[in-house]
Amino acid sequence: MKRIVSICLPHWPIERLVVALARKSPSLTVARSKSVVPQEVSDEVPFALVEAGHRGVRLSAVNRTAFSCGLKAGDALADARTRVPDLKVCDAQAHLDREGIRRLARWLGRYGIQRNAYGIADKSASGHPIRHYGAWIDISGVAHLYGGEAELLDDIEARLEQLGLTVTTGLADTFGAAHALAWYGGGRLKGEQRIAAPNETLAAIAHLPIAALRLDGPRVHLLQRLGFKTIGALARIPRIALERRFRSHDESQRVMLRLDQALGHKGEPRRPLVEQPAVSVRKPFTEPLMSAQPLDNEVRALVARLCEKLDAASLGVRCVLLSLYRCDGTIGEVRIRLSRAARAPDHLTGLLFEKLPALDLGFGVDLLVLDAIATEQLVSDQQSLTQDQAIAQDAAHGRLIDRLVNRLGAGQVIQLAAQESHWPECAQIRQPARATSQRSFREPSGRQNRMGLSQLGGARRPALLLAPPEQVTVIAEIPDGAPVQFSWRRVRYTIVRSQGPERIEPEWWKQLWPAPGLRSRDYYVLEDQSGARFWVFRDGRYDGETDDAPPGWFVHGVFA
Amino acid sequence: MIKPAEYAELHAISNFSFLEGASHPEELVAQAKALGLTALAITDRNTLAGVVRAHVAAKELGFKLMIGARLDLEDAPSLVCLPTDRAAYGRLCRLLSLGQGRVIKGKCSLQLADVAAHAAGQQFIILPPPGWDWRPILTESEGTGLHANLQRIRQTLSAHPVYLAASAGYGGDDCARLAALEILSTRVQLPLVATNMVAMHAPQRRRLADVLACVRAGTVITRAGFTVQANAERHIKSPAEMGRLFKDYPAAISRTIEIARACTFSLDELVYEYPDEPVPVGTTPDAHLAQLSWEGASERFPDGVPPEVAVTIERELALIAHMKYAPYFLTVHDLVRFARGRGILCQGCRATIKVRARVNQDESAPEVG
Repeated sequence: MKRIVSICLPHWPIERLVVALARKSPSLTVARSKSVVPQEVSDEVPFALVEAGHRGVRLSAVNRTAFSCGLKAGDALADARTRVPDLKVCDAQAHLDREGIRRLARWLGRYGIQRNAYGIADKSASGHPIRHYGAWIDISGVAHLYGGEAELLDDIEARLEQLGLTVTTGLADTFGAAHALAWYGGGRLKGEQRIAAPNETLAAIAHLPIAALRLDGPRVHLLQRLGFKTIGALARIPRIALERRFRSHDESQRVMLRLDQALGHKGEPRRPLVEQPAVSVRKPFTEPLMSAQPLDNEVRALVARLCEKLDAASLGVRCVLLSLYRCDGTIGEVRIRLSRAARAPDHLTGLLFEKLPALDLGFGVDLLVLDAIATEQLVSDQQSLTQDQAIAQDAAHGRLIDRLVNRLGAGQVIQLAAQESHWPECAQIRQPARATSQRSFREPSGRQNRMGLSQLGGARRPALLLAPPEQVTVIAEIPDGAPVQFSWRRVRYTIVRSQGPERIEPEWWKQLWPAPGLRSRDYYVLEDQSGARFWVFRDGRYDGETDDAPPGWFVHGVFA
Repeated sequence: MIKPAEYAELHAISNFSFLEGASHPEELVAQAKALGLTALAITDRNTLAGVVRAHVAAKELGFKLMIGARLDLEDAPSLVCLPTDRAAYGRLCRLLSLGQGRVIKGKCSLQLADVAAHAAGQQFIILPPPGWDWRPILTESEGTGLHANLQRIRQTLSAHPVYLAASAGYGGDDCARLAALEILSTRVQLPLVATNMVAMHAPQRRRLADVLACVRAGTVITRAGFTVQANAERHIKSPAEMGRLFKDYPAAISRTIEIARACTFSLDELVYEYPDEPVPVGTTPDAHLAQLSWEGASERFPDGVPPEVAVTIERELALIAHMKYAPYFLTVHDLVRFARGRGILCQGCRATIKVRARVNQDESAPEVG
């Protein structure tokens, strides 16, 4: 059975702004809409966030003082000003609210890997939409680390309150029940009352109002008119009897769905913030880490533990995320990517250390988590008996590329790769370095791979390609005899052996515009008296019909 | 320079080899005629679909066309099959029907044993597979790869003329490749014959051929890579140019003429043949029809046939004899006689159809006409 914590943050937009202003965090206060953001928001003066809405500007959130003055979210700003003349207002920044709650949810990962933020759209009495913010965490099997479920909730509440947030929590087998406890306990629930014991969900939430079932206004209203005040009352009556009261079968089904979800009769899958990492190791600290040296040691130990786990599962990582949970509720992350799956502790540690110095430890780090986000099957490398160094070379090559890429940036390191093209200049491309095995080049257009380079058949390609080809003077038989002599860079070469011609036509689809400039080439492999081999081509043909200029001869490459 | 030789192209695919041939059969014939080839064979992949249009064009130009097909076999290299006479053509047609009937439309499933069963009167040219590597030939003595396949084909088709195709496609290694083929042909005793593996009538069709190759491979031209050909050399070449390319192998060129001469079949030999109509022994359909006609005339005109009717009958009998339609009219006569015997109303063409349907229904007699 799962155990879900729901965290209710009833005043999130305002409190977020207060915290952000207190920290003078630039990212939180830069408004998109050039609205005036107050320098300070005190809880002493009535304050509200406003946004353009249904029939004029309306309040989207109010602080406690404003609330005690009788204002509430959804009121028109004009009415509010009349009642509370000294009301301070500021434009709501919903995108920052969402961003912030997501960041908070990320930080909540310290309590459980599966967690996410949520927002619930509601409607005020005036019809203005209001969003409520909260978060959920799946803490199955975690609570004992904190000494019990109640202690865990206390810990969450204490930490969030320390940040200046108003918070209530609920804990149950289902999200629905936890939500009901968190939001409709009225903040009065303390200790065990917040918690629905395993398999006793109904008993724990029976006394809560119908609205706690996450039903919308009209349905709640209808149920209340029917005399159902609490969830318990609703759960007790036979379904058939209830169904008749509703307009349609669908209507009643929706109500029943929420009840079933809360009681765990129907599943309610929720998308977690991040996919669960394949392997994860963590290290909490009672005394926050403040300096770099102990951090390095701890990271090294963590990596070693991670690699042990990977080894046991025959996995290698392609992406590793190191999260530093700071005391002040923020989180620092280091993400490294590997070009080929690896689990060598030295390699991973080296890559992490490249980036650690850039991290701010803030007021100290009290939890380190190392997640292997992307993993691949990786069997142990065979220790070679025959001194075959190919495997070791591949691994070293991969390590070099990883270091370069993680230090210089992904686009900064390139490598050459073969590309299927008959035209020699196009047969090679530069692509971002990716340390695949040197023995398996990845070629484009997968379907033709089986032909691959071997389709060139007996045609040879030189080790060095001159760019651009260099013109030579040649003595050769017309129309397509191989040269018997040519002069290149003022040196004359007498040819003793030759092979060819290999006729290569230009790639016409690359020359549709501008007008065709390339002509077909006849390539020859030539060997001179000293054994040097050249790749020489004739640009154009003697027997061509439309050629205007006479053919020219060029050296395009030399063989090793 | 080599003096212009005679040359016949023995393997050319038209656009009836779908997504491969880039020229119409008419264009291939016209180009072959213009370049002065002795003959041209249209040999589409597993089909004879292109030969009719080629035949019409060749007849107009007075050019010698060879009918044939390229047979892609499941257990052996592809063969070009050139029937020499009318009977061999029939066998090739049956072979293709057999192969096409085995699998879904558009495909063909044939094996070497099937070819052997229909091989009488055919000439075969073995095409080395496209990715064939000639290098092992120079080092190995025998028994592997293409060598083994060639030996198997030669044994299976031992009673028939079989040749080995050689082409010079400007691949860079033509010289060595031809030498390797020559060695191979001596080893397995299959004479070498030159072909240019024609896929287009002129090099200007390269773009179309490239696009077709892309459609076939389901890719786009910019990503085509080695899907498309490096050059446009698979067009019809003049005897002089072929002679120059095969200057070390003149026999391979002259053999094309021998093969072309052996192919005497022309589509003109195909005419409609009416199924045999039984006639009394010792008479011909024409005589039998004339006899029946005069008997019928005398029945209708008991007082003697009027002279103008007699003239008409004479004229029509002459026309029928000229068109060789007598068996058809004898069939109609049988049907009418049958119908009258059963009291079925019959008149003109529609009656014929009705009667025929009735006949099929009653006695499940074989359908005629």
